[in-house]
Amino acid sequence: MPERDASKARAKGAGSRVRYRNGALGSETRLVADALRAFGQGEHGTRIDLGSIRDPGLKEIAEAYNAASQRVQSAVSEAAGRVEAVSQGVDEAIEAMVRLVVQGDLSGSLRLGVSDAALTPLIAGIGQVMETLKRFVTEIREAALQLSSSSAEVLAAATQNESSTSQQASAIHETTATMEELKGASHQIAENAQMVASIAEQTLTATRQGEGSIRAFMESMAKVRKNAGEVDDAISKLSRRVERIGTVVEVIDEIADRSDLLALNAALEGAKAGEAGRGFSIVAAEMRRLAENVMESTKEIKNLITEIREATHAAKEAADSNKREAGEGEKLGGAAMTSVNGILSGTQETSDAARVIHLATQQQRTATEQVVQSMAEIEEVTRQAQSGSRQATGAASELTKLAERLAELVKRFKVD
Amino acid sequence: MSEATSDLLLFQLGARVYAAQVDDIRRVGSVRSEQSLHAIAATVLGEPLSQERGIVVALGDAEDQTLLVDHVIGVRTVAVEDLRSLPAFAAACLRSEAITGFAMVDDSPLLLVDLSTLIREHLRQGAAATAEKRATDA
Repeated sequence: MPERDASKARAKGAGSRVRYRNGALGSETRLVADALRAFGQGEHGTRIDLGSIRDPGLKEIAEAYNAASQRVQSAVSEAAGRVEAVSQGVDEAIEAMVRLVVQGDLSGSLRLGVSDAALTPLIAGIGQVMETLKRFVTEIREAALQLSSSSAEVLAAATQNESSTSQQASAIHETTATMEELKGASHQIAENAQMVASIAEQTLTATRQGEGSIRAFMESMAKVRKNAGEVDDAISKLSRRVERIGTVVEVIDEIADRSDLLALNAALEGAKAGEAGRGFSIVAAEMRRLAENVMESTKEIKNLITEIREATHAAKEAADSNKREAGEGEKLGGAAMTSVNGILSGTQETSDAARVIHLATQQQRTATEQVVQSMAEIEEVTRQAQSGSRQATGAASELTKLAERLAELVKRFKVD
Repeated sequence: MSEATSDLLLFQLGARVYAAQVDDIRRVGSVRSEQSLHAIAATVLGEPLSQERGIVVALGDAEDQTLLVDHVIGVRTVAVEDLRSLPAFAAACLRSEAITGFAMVDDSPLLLVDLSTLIREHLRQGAAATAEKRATDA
């Protein structure tokens, strides 16, 4: 340090002189100046020939210059060597990193042919980068695996969801169609119920008319039965009169028969009397003819009486039958009245029930229409969900492919 | 010159009409008034169906008998020449002597019956049958 101070003092003094002498510089000074100018321009290898300088001061400066330039040149050379070594180490490190990245092998550590303290931070940094890359790659690999697994699950779930949505859409479509049919059926049932109600009402009216008719029929039957009884009485009277006539006719016939016998015997006696009994025989024959006429008449009357008997018998049987039939008719009418009352009650219930069914089916139809509308909305939503599921399935499939692709890419990096 | 005539009683028995001389006939009665239990119904002439009349026949030496007939037509007077005897062959074929001939009445031949003979034959046959039955019973 004292020597440097002394040199500065000398250089300062010398400078004054050099500057002085530069005013009228000599060749030695110029030589030294040129050397210094060249040094200043980076030409550190320039040396001053000491032999050509005689001035002691300049010579000392030249010697100092030469020593300094020698030292600077050596330091620069040394620095250039270090720069080259560091540059080589950096190149090696970059090349090693590029190689590692290209080959994907992160399992090893960085080894450089150059060992320079200046490269230590770089090597440490690269090591940290590699470790970080290893960790990243490991994490990315794990994440890729998880992503692949998850995307596969998502794909499976999306596929299942798509299938379920399709089934759901199909089921909803079928349900909607069924509900449409149900709506039609409800409409048909409502119309039929209304028709049943109308028919039941008509039946009710007709049954009431039938009830009136049966009542009139029963009254007619009662009249018929009463008339049949009167006819039966009349026939009985007629029969008794006919029997009386028959008795009278029998008497007349008996008389006529006796007359006939008398006439016959008279004729017989007349014949036995011969010629004397001729007139008697003629009278007897005439009497007999009259008796025979009477008997023929009584025979006709008997026949008529027989016919009347048969007719009155038939009329009596018919009257009895009429009475029985009228009685049966009244019984049947009573039974029919009971049945008609039952029919009336049943028809009334049917009419009420049909009316209730009509109202219920109308409500059912309205509810079914609402259900159909809701089902249509559900079907639309399901269709959208189906489309979304399809898109989700496609996305999951793409995601799975990307996960597989990522896993393939990550596999290139060797970390173990 | 008066034509010889004969008075005949015409009666119906079954489907046939017969003729009989009125001299053998006592009277004609009603079945109801006659003793129908003792009247004769079935003879060789047949059996009456309606049995409306009974001809009372005088047997002379025996009690009068009644022959049941269906109907007595009446007394008819016919010429004697209308009374004919039976041909020998026909008479031989008949089992009864009561059929004596036939009379032409209204151009129709009617069997002429001797009622007394008819009844006697019937009574004889009845007695024989009774005797035969008694003999059989004995």
